[in-house]
Amino acid sequence: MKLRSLMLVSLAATLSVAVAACGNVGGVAGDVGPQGENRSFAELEKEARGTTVNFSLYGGDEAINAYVDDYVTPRLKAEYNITLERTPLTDTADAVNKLINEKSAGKDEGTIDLVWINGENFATGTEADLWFGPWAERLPNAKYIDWESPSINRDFGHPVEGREAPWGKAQFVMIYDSAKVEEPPKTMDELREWTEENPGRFAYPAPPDFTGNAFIEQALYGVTGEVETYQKPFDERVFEEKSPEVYEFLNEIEPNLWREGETYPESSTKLDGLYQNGEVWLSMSYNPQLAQRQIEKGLWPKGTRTYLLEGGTLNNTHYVAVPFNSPNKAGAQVVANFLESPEAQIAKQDPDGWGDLTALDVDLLPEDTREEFSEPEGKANLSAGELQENRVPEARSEWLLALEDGWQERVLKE
Amino acid sequence: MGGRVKIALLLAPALLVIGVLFAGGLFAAVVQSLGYLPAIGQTEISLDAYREVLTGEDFVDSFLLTIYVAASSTGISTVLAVLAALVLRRSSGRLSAVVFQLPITIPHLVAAVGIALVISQTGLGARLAAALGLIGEPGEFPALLYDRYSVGIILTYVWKETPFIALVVLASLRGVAGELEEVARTLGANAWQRFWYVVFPVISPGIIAASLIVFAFTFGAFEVPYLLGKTYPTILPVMAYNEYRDIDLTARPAAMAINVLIALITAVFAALYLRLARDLGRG
Amino acid sequence: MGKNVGTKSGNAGLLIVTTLVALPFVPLFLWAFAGEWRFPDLLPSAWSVRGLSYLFEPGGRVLGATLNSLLIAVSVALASVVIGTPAGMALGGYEWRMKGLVIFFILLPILVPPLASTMGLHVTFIRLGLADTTLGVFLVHLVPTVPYTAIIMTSIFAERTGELEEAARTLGANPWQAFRHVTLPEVAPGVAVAGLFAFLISWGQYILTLLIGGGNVVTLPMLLFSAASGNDPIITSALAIVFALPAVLALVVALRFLKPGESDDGRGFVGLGKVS
Repeated sequence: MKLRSLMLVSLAATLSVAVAACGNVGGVAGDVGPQGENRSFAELEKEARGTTVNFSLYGGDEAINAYVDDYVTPRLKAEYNITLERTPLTDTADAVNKLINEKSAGKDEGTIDLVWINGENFATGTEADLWFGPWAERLPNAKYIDWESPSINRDFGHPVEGREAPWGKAQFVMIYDSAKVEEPPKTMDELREWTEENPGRFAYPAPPDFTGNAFIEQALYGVTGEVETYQKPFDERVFEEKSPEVYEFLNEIEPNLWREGETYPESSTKLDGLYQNGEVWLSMSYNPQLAQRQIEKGLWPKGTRTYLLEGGTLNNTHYVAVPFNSPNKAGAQVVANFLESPEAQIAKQDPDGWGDLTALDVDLLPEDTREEFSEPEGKANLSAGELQENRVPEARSEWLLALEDGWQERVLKE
Repeated sequence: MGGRVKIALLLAPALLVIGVLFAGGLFAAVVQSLGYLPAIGQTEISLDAYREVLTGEDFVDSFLLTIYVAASSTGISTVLAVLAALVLRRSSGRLSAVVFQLPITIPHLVAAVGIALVISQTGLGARLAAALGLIGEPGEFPALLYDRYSVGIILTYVWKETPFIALVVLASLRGVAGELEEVARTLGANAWQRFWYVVFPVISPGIIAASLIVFAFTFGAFEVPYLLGKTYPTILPVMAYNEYRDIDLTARPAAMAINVLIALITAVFAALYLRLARDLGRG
Repeated sequence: MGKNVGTKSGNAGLLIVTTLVALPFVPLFLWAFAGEWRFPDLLPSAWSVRGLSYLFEPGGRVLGATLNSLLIAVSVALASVVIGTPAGMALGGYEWRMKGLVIFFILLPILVPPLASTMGLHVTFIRLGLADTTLGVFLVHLVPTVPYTAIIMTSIFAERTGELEEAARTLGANPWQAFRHVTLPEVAPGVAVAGLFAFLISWGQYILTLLIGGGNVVTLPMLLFSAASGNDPIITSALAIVFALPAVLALVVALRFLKPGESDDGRGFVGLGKVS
């Protein structure tokens, strides 16, 4: 008898867990709406003193981790008495997924205060109403940012609306080892030829890795010969019409990729490792200063050089955003403001560390500060002018999502 | 009656933990797999997710790969374990126990990392090959990681599971089987006869039981293939996790459906194992 | 096969097996102390303490993660022993009608991957505020460990006949005294083994911690995984060695203080046959 009732109790407990999972407890958490931040920055600073801010960002690049841990964290402690906790992410989409889970479970106080984000992840978050704000244009250092520029106020085509603060800029570049490669390919056609002549010496990270996405996006621009089309809202018919060419191209080069395309490096970090080992001779990055940085660290061959594709390469801004359920919104904004400060941006651009380009508009800076944003030096670096003259905007994220899904179906699975 | 109350009380904590955290979780997975996600407004139950998953090419590819990895790991481990146990039963008992027990306690991730550093194209093996003049460049060394045949994954499982099975076999060999073998020898049987007619029948139930456990485990394990596997196809648990991580919540039922299927398949092995163990007890 | 030849081949076999078992550790130790080690060198061209200093960085992530791992694993070991021992007593010492079903139920989480049930449980945990907490991680770690402790204790109790307890009872001891002074000392080695197993299982968990901990609860395997996905074998190897340490220590402890027969987990499994 007692045994049976014990079983029944266990069953009841099991069912109640299941019911709890089903129940819709506060599924529609408070509308993040247009209210945003209305306290003054002085108030925010005061409130943030002595608090902890959790900053979630991609953790696979040691140089970025070092910049945050060794420069940002101590400075925040010293100047604002804020303790910054860096939470490494394998993929920013994981943080977005977590926030979506929390939103649907009605969790009003989460664990992430600030997240490094842009592109599709930001767009998905906007659709799911995950971002607190607007707040970014009210920050003191926002005056050094050119909010009029579409490369700032639109993130992969999506309006930013003050819900994320620009942190830095990226531009897609190609990298090659000049000791092994005489003439690196500048167009997709040339790439096809090059991989035929040098099988196994090129690879791109598998989407949805950020850099991998960029490569297939460049392929989209290059193979279809169009850029403007993809700045417009997504059109399924146009996509169906144009994309087969792109997939055909990617399938054509696949057998001549590293490992004959049987597997793709899962991240840009892994691709960097392949280049470092000498397994591939041609690579890519979103950081134009990466090559120089790695050469100076003694990790990459001295003959490494950076170059751009014909027609220009993708450039974008990356940002930091505050989730709807951040437990320390004041602290998050103070940190964001510090990240945008000229001194933090100069330290970030230092090729000995991260080498990430600034999001600030140097023309808006006072002259003496402007001078500290020096021209990138070193043989593997391209001049700021060259980068600026050869850039193309990113496509709207819906095109990219369709492109990536299609890559999974039509290229990865053959 | 006091006895039954006592039994119930003794079992209560364990049954509660497993009932709530494990069975409850599986039940929740079943519910979600049927499409019931009120949080995004889906309250209709249907088998759509199962239909989608089971008819999808991904699932079949992934399922086949998982079976392949589990079967190869189990098969190779079992054969090696029996061989190792047969050879080692005559050597120092304490030492062989230690040697076998070490891999059992070492976490899978450590084994995976260590083995990866041996078999990668710039690993110890490749460097040895280069030193012997067999290869010139990393690319010439065979690709054993992130590869189609999941060599790295299988090697890691073999390294970890062979000692486990070997210990089971060794225990058996040093017990009843050893005595029976002595009897057979005095009766004039040769080595092969002794093995096939005496030793093997005695140790085989134990081998099968241990193999069932290893198969079920390698079927549902996550960490090693996540680290050392290739992009596509991946094994079932990794596929479930990837679906789960999809920002598009409408993929959630599919992720749960895969979980439920994995649970069903491994539960069958659990049942098989128990049947076998019960027969063992009677025999 | 004469005894002499057997011994020779036995020891040769031991050598081969030992080499294979030790093989993965060779690159780990070399890389952990390496400074520079390019292909195709067989040994590092420069040694350094970069790996070690990463481990012991004051305020670094490794110390915190290790403490977290230890805290969780020890609590899980204690809890699962407390939960599993009475279950083992019931299963090992008594017979009743639905016993097979109960054993099957308890055995399930060993063979059915806890990942499946944890993914299902995740949303509920978020609702209950257990996600992103150490408590939540502790709870899910119980799922793979309790069945192990229950089954190990089952086979321990199955071998006991209860005679000693009966003798104590006839001498006037009450049930609790009999348990404390007779049963407990006898099963203590088994309890220790069960606890050790539970500790190791919890110590080695990765995906359960990642899923429920949400990246907020950082344990050692997560640092290792993250490093292993990167390009720095020096850091990865240093972390791997630290991660493996408790496992080796546990083995040493088990071998010194417990008799080899009892720490033979193989019997724990096959022994199930005797129980049902």
